[in-house]
Amino acid sequence: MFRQIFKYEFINTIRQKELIFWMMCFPIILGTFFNLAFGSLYEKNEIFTEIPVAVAEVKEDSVFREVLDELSSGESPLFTVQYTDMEKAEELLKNEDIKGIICVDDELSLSVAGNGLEQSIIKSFLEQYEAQKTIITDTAVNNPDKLQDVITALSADINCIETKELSGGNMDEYVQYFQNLIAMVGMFGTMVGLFAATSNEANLSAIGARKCVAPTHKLKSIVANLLAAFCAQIICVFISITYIVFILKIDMGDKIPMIYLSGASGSLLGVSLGFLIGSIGRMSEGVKVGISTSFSMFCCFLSGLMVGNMKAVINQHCPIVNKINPAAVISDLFYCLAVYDDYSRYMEKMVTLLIMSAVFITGGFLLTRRKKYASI
Amino acid sequence: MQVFKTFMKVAKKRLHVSMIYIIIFISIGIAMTSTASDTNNFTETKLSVSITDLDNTDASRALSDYIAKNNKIVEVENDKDAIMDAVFYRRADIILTINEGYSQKLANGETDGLFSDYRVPGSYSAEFFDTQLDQYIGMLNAYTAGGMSVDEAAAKTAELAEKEVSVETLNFSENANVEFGENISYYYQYLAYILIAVMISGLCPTLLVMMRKEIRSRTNCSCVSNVSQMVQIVLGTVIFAVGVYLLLTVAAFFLYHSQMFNSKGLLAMLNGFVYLIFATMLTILISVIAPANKAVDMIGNVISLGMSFVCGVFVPQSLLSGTVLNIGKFLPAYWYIKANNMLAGSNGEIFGMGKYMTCIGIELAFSIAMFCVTLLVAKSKRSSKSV
Repeated sequence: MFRQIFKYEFINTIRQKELIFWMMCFPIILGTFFNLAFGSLYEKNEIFTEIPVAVAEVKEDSVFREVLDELSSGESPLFTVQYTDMEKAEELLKNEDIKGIICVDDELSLSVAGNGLEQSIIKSFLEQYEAQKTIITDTAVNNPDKLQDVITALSADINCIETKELSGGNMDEYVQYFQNLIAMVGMFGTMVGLFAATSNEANLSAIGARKCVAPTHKLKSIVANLLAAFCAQIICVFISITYIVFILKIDMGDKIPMIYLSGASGSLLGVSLGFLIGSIGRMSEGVKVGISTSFSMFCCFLSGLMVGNMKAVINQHCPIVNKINPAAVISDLFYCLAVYDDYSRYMEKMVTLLIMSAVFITGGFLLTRRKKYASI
Repeated sequence: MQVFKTFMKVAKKRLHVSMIYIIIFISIGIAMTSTASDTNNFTETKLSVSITDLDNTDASRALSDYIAKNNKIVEVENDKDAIMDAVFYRRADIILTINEGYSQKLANGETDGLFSDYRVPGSYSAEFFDTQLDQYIGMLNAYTAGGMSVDEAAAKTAELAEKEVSVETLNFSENANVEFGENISYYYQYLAYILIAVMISGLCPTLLVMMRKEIRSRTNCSCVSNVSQMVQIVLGTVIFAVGVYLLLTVAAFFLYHSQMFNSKGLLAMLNGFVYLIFATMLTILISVIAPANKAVDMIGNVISLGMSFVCGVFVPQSLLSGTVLNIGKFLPAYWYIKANNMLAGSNGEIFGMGKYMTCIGIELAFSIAMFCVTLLVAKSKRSSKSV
């Protein structure tokens, strides 16, 4: 009997076209959009490449030219420099071919078309050059015998920062959108879980009424139902993960089996939460679907599906929310796999997830047991 | 006007969905207004830096002050997970530790190993911070080489660091002096998403009800002529669309006051209105195709999110790849956003009335094309039914 119920519940679930769209097609479509929009953001926006500048020389400054030439050559140059007149330079700036125009006169000045890190780096470099010039001039006037020492100190290579490696993982912050997308699919498991719960409640569905008069033990029926829902949900999550990792080729770390395991765990959490919501009270199915969808989407919002750094903001102001938000817990599993080399934090998140799932399922069972219907 | 009245009654029932979109959109608009920024003058980018001072001397404190003056200081717990989270989610660009012996090393003329830090390797922010710190240490080192003590050198360096290079922001737009701030530009940028979402989720189900076979048949056997029915439905559609537009425009008036009354504000309103025409045409087309009621939300979400991601609503056009932009060119939202960027002078777009009107024209062309497709679909459906 268990196998029969499981089989038909599974078929019943995967035949719900609307459910399948939201759980299988929508994540694939959204993932594709994410990839189109965020695919090149990390390289374009964050990873440093030499800054194109134009230099318009009103007055010749051979030392400055020498410094610029040095900075625009070598293995990792700071600038790519074009020497030109002001008119041509403005044309280049207008066409966004360069980020700034350095005007060499008695004093250096900068013309830009907007704000940004690249423009700030050019400004910082010019200030550095001007400051060094001032130091040399001051020393030549006030302390000429130390001039050589000062010049030597200024021209010395400075290597004052030792950068520690955080992890060998992917530091592309836009990957979190994909992590949250899989978390969203996991959270959509609430719909399947809810469907499993309502199909056992006589006042909410015809099949529920039929089951209630059947002699099958309710526990057996519900467990088979939940298992079928969980299996259907796992298929959807696995399809999303496969699409994101192997077709979109998003770098979510190299622990591929663990990524699938995390997806399965996320499904468990989603289904159990849906089962709990479906078992609460005697509200209509529509109301329960409304509650579960709004709650899932709100959890996804808090975990950063819509606004990337939301999790960090919440962590700063109310960290407990991140610890108990089911969507955040699921996406944290993928985050840990992507950036950490060890499993200590991953295990902590996994245990939280399993405890939450156990609480939801137990709650659901307690609410469902011994429900009787005098008349429907 | 019975058809019109029925239309309005049905629309009223779906109004809450549209209102949820509109209220969330306006709330975000209000929240963003509070973070207004002046884009006409150059503002140096400030990094988020966390400092742990293990040296704790006058010299190290002077350095902390220098960093704090040019950047935003953030607190990050000295714990591996907290540091990882702060760097990954960019709450902190640099997590710097001033090592013990910093002052002593400087006095000896050494610069190696003064600091250790965590950062996103190879990023612009890391490069910028390196430039700042190299500048400071270079100056300090030069002063100490010139015979000053570390504390004197730190004071002198701080003094010298006050001197700034003059930066001029060039604006190449035709009407560069007309104010059109970052916030109003964002408002109109996101309008491209909200208009499509509201029209499809609010208007489409209403039209679907009005076009339902039983309702059509019932109305057809009444004394209301076909033309009158159509006119009343069109009137209802226009009132719904214009109502949504007016609501969003009035909200923009409250949020951005004077910026709405200048030439750029009026052009933004025109751009929004033309895009509304497209959104309405698209909604009518979807309802003529007549999907199941439950599928409307799916179609609405896919179209509104898809166009927004591909055309530069959610991610600036300048950051999208060439392929994505080329795909976007076949969608009206691309031209809407391009026109909006011209007004804001952002994403490398420079305002020119001719170029602006070209964008508006392309949007209109999309609307006309959508209208033609709608007629075609409607006609083919009718003829297939008659067969």
